Amino acid sequence: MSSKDKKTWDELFAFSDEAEMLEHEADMLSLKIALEITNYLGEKGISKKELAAMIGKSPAYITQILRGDKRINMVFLAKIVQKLNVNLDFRLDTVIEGDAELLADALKINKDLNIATCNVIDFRTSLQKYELKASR
Amino acid sequence: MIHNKSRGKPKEKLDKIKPGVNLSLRIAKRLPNLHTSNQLQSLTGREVILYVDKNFELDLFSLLQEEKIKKKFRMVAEFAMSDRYSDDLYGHERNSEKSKDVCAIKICVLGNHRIYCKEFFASGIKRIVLIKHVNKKSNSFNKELRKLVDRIGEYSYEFQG
Repeated sequence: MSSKDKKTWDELFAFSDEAEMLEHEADMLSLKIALEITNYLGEKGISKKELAAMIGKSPAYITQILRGDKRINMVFLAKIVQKLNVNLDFRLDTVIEGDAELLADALKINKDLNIATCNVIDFRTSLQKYELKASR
Repeated sequence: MIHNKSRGKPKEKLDKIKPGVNLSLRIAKRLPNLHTSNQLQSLTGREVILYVDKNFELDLFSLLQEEKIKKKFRMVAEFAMSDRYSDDLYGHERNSEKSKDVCAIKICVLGNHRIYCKEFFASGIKRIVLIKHVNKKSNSFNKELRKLVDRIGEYSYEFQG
C-alpha cells in the first residue's frame, strides 16, 4: 500500500470526532449483549420467532436487534431477563493504560485531542464479560 | 461492465477466467487498522488481519463512502476480527469444497450487501481478503452466486503490507 493510499484509507476509517467513536463503542456493547442472547437462544433451542412472541415484539425487530442494526435498550433487556427467566451479570474492568496510546495511534488524532481521548479511555472501562445465566 | 444486448441492461462482469483454469496469483493489500472497541476479544487468540483484493480496492472504497454502510462495516469487521462467525454478520458461504474458505460480510443497511471474502490461515494468523461486493436482490443462494463463491474459493494471493 503506498503512503498516499494508506492515508486515504486511514482518513476513511478514522472517526470524525469523539461522538462518532462513542457511537461505535455503544454499537459494539449492544452487539456483545446481542451475541450472548443469540448464544443462549441457540443453547436452549429457542427461535427468534419464539422469542419475539415471548416478549411481544415482531420477529423482524428481534432480527434487527440480534444482528446489531438496532441498539439494545434496557426495557428490551428487562423483557429478556423476565421472559427467559435468566440473570444478567456484568463486570467493569479497568482498561490497561497502554491502550490509550494504541487507540490514539489508531485514530490518528492530534495532540490537542489526546487529553479528551484519555478521558474516554477512563470512562470506557470495558464491560468485559456479560453472562446470561439460567437462574435455576 | 458489459451490456446485455437482448435486454439493454448493464450486466456486471464477474471474472474473465473460467473456474479452475489458469488462475494467476492475485494481489491482496493490507487494510489499515480499524479502531476497535475491544468489546469482542479474539475467540481463538488468533490474530485476524483484513486485506482487500487490489482489483476490488476502488469498489470497496467507493462503497464505504456511504456513512451508514461504513458504520455497519466497522461493526462487522470488528466482529470478524474477533475470529467469530455468525449467519447474520460474517459467515461461511460454502457451495462446494472449492469454496470452503469463502465467507461474506453481511451488511443489511441500504440494501442487502454482501462482501465476499476468502480466508487464509497461517500459524496464529487468519488473513481475510475482501474480494467482491454484491447487493443481493433476493435471499436465495442462486446459481450465479454459487458460481461466484466457487470461483473466489480458487483465488490465491500475494499478500502486501
